[in-house]
Amino acid sequence: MLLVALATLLTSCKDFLDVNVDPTLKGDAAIQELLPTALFYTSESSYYQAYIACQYVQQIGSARALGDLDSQVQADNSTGWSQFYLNIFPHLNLMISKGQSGNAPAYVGISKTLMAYNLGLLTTSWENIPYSQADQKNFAPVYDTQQSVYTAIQKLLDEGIIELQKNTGTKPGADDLIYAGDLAKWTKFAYTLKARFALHLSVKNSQQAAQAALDAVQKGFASNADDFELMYNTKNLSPWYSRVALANTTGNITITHSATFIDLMNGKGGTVVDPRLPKLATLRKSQTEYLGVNPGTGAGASVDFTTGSWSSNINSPIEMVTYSEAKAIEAEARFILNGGTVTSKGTTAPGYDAYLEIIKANMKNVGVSDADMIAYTSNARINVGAANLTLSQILAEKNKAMFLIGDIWTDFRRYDYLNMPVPANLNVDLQGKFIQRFNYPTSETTRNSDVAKQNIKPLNEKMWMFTK
Amino acid sequence: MRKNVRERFMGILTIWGIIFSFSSFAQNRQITGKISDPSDGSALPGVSVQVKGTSRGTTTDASGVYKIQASDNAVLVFSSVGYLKKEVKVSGQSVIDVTMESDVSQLDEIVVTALGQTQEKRALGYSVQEIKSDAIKNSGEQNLVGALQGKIAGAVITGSGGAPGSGVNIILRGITSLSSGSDNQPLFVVDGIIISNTTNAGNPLPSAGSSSPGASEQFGNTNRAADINPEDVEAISVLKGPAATALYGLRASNGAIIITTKRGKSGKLRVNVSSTVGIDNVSKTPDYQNRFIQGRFGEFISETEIAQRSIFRSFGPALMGDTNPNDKIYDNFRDFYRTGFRNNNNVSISKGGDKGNIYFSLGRNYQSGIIPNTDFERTSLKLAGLYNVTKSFSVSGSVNYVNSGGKRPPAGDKSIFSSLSYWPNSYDVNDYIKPDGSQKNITLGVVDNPRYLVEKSPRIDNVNRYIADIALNYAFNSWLSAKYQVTYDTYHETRSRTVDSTFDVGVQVKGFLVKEDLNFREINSNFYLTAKKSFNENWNGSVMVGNSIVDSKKPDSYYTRGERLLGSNPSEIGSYKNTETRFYSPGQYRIVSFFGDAKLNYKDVLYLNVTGRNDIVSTLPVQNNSFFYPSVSLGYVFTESLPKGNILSYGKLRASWAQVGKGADPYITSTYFAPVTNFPYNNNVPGYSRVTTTADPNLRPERTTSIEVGAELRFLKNRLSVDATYFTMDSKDQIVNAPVTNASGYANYYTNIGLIRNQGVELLVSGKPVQTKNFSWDVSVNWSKLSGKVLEMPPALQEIVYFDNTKTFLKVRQGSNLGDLWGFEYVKSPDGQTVIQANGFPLVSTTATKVGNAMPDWQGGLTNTITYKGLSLSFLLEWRQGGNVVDMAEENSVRNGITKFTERRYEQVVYKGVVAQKNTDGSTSYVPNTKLVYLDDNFYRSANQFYYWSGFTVQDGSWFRLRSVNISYSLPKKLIANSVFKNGVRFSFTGTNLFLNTPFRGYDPEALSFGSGTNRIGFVGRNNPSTRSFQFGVSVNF
Repeated sequence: MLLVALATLLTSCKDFLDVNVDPTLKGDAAIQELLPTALFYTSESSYYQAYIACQYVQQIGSARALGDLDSQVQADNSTGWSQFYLNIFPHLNLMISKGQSGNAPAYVGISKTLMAYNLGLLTTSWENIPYSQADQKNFAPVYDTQQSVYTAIQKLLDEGIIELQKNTGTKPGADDLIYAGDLAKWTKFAYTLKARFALHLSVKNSQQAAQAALDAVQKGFASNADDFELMYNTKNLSPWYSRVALANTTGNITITHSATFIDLMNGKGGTVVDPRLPKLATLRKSQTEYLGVNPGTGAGASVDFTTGSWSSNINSPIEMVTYSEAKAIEAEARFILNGGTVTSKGTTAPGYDAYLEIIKANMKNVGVSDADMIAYTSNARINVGAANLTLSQILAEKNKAMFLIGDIWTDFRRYDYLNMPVPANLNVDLQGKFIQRFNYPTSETTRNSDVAKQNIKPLNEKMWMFTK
Repeated sequence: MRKNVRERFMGILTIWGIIFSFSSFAQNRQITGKISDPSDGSALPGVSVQVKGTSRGTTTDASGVYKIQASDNAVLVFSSVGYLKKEVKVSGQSVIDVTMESDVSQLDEIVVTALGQTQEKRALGYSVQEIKSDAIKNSGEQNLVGALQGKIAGAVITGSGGAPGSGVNIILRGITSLSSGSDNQPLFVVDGIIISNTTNAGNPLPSAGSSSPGASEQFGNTNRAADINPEDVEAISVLKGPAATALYGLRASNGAIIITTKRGKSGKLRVNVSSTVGIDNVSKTPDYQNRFIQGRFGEFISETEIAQRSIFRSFGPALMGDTNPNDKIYDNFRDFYRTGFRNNNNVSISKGGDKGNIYFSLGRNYQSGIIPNTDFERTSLKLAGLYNVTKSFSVSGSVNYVNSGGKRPPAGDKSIFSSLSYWPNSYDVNDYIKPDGSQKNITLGVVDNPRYLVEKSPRIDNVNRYIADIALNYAFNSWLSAKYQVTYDTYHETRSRTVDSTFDVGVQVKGFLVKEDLNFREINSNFYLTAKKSFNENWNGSVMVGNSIVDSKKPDSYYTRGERLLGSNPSEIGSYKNTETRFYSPGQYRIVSFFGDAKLNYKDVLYLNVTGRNDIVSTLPVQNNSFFYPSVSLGYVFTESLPKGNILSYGKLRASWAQVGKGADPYITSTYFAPVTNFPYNNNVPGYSRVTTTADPNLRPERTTSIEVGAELRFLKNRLSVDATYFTMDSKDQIVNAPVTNASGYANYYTNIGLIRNQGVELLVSGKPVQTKNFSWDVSVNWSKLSGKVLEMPPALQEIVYFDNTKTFLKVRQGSNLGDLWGFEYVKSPDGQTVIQANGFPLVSTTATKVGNAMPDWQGGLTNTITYKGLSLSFLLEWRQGGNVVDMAEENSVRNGITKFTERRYEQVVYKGVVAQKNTDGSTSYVPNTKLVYLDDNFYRSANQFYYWSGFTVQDGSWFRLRSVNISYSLPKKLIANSVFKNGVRFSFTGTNLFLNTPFRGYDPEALSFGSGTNRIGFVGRNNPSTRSFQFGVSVNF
């Protein structure tokens, strides 16, 4: 009798103890619930990368103190890193496997494309990164070399394009926060990325890179309407709006425009006054002259990001890849394929058109009037003619068109930062050189330290992609 | 089906009862008698009367009378808490009246041990420390845990500030669990009821705009044991190690605090009314500089220049005195605080008798804080009683209702304390409001005016709690008895905070409201069957077996947050555009346990105690969810084997070996998806994210093994006693929520790791230097030294960082001591000298090194009690030696030129150190630095040169304080003998924290920034400062 009682007891005991699942959370999520997450964090992670990278290239600078990020102080962008590995990568992997088993090639294609975009953001920031062993519950994943990451990126994009073109099965709708399920736009985005990442390797082999970029970009973005950007809203506030412009209103001033960038537009030193300037920068009270912060000093600015600035108002998107950039890729590729170098002049007619289109597209995007746009693009110092165009003019316009898009840092490094001035209080660790990389986050150096150690390189050492 | 489990257990255990056969003992003679109190000869009910060497026993009734059968040559043993044990030979008598002797020297003290067993302290093989109600009352503390400060060897008890209702953290014998945020506090048990002592941090933050490292620092949340009214407490037993707590099992792996509340005792109705009133002031405040007014680089910045230039830094010119009569320096660190008020009223009614006893109390405690617009109140209602249904069957039960809550000041990031570290000395922080009711803010929104912030945005909370139990006791016969107790603890807490868009923390989301609902309920079912057996004259023993079932849950707990105020009523969620409701994890767990306890006693000289417990938990994988752990302890009263001497009157050696197992946190073994913060996107597109914590699918229970040895010696007829304990505690296979590389796809991984060893020495010395009829002087000292070390770490984890504020962090590696603080030293030359850079300043290294440890080196308390007739003076001095602390607010007050520290400015100095020189052969040599540098804003505001430097950030947190002073006077009995309060009138004065000596520069270092219930020790300065209080009280017994 006792045994019978004990037996019943043990079975009911097992039931009694079966309470170890959190009823307030879901055990799984649908692809439609994962895509918004991946897109949202892709945008956030791009913001965090741009916040640092755009200070390194003196688009923006610290308005707070000397010796901050615009002195090229080391940064690890731990937030961006974590967002990728925790909030993006796993969800893309899940969507790929769910999409493959559940007849949703569109989601597979989107996920592979997004994976490529994000891997590019990572490898251009840190060089070697965990990829092939990442998201596998492996607590000491090895890092893939930059070379293999670039191979993987192109492969992902090729596979993604095939999936996107299948045009069957479950397709996204409102859950696609960026293109609302427009697969044609996704395909154009994938091609534009192929071009971006091809041109990234221009130092390795400029002709090959330019040709591959040109081939791809022609199937890429065709207008500003194709831009890969996330629109924010009054609930999900744009980071430049909430973390920079709104914080400014309570005096928690962080960054403002760099003098180097403002001076490209304010007419100083013989530059042409750019009609985009009042859109991008807002003068402080009782200031009349547009002055950026002197890099590395925390001082000298007359402008701020405000809730009225184009990049930091409540409706501002996070721009990640734009039509203007595609045109800049095309202009540069054609310039190189025409035999152009850093010191040479002249490009082809379509190359010149692409150069002008960088400006026009971006000006339309930020809301410059047609009259102002025409005035600017017909100014002799801008409208130099195909025969006189230089690479630095293309890059200068690309820099302006890619304001607050962190990939511009790659362009700077491809050309040894061109003629960027040395900031005050330059990070002493750089030994007079410019910064080439982020530090690995402490979450890596302390939790995956053996692997991280093998990949840590000096801040001023060029990445594989920037060496011959 | 599940509901029936408990009944099934009952059934089975009843069967066991029947299987045991009844046996009877020969009974020869009936003896009766009356037991009386030595002081006034009144009858003593509830005294245990035992026939020595047998398990036969009874207790005296309400009129102090007992009846018992015993043989002529038997010895009767009389014992009762608070009295000396007395033995009387029967020798043919049939009436034995006994006058007990008060247990002044606590010899043969009876203490409460695990599962509420009362045992002679003599019989224990491990150390137990008991605190009596007087000591609790004398502390002047309304938080029960705070009331233990300075009294327990081996306990580190630290408050989270002086705001009314703030939590107090207690750690016994060191940290055993390493995970960040893990609670290392002991189990709290009130009359057999396991009660929750959780500190709920909740989620008070907006979705954007806060850089707070976590919710726990935002408000000094109450540890829930503070719901217990200290006036109801009779005694507290502190069970420190696994040997003492093994019977409680895994939930007491950090020790246990066993609280016994008052019960009706005397046959007469007793009514006690007591009342105290008191005031609180801020205790130590940081020194401020009173020479320089606002500005930068010595230049004055006037209010009219605010729009262009930040005014708030106090780096302006020196105060001119009479030339600028309007300039004045304020001590905002002190003047911000007001005098708090407290009032505590209690009524208790108790009665005992042979049919049972009853106790009723009503207590109300109100406290207004030293911070304006803050308060806390607690109303407690308690009814407890026992009813003897028959001679062998009794029912007891209790209900305690508590209502507590108040208005709490915002702490941590973007709070009062961070704002105060910015506020310029030349502006009065209390001049905070404009005539139109809006904020007066000289910093133009860089920080909020702290006064305005707390006036407008305190957090309001309210807790309703019920703690109840019912227990059935049945004695089958003289040697076998059974007890069943079911206990219930539940609370419902609501919290609410409104922050409008003008505040720093509210601006990014355009104002917000957070409402929280927190629920908790726990049911415990306990069954015990106890058999006592006397084998012969020399050998006595008892066996207890039992079962307990726990079901604990935090159901329907959630927060609702509204952001972007549109409507007119900011305290209504409906007035906000964006709202979000998120559930907190219910954290449900169930434990089914079986345990046994066997005691053997040889001639009251040698005591052996063996226990075993098997827990089956819901939180571990099924294959590993059942685990057994034993303990064995031995006590040897060696003086019984020695000839009686005059010097050593009592000596006992103790030794024990014990294990205790521990399960995991609930729910961690599954994969989950949670809604993304601030989703649905634009209020319409849902998004889910995989939860970033995962667990080893083969998680095993962790195991702590402890060895404890000790000695208790009493000298000179018990005038002096020494109790020493040494212990080691090895925590193996510890379940750690380890932070892992995010490239794994996860941020945290629950796994079994390593080996942590805690060891320590605890010493208690008490003496009675003077004892005469009217005058006595008692001294007691406790001292303890603890250290914890990580002996093994798994290869996959090199280190665990459990708090990181970028400048200083708590982390452990293999070989680290628990509590190690890491930070950044100045760059050093190979021979250890500070390397001075070309600019003449040293440079903070970018490589972290160990720079301190947050655990005290040792701590001690000294209590002196001097009594002359009805007048008694008692004071408690407390030391804490060592233990580094990081002041999280000082950095800003230095950067803004507010603290005394920065008064040294506009002078030229030469840094002591060396300058590196490159030699022609490529080697480096170091020569003494001679470069003159200028100390100004740039220096104090430089992270690389100064404020990241560990020599600045990490301070010595040692202190020595007069924790409490208590003077009480009882009216002479003669005076009141014929009045209604003939049972005693007592007046008392209590002062707390009257003196503090510490090298620490900030507020009282005893105010944990992260509140109670976390591992993040050693961080202070951004929480409400401690207070100094003066209280006057009257207690009347009718």
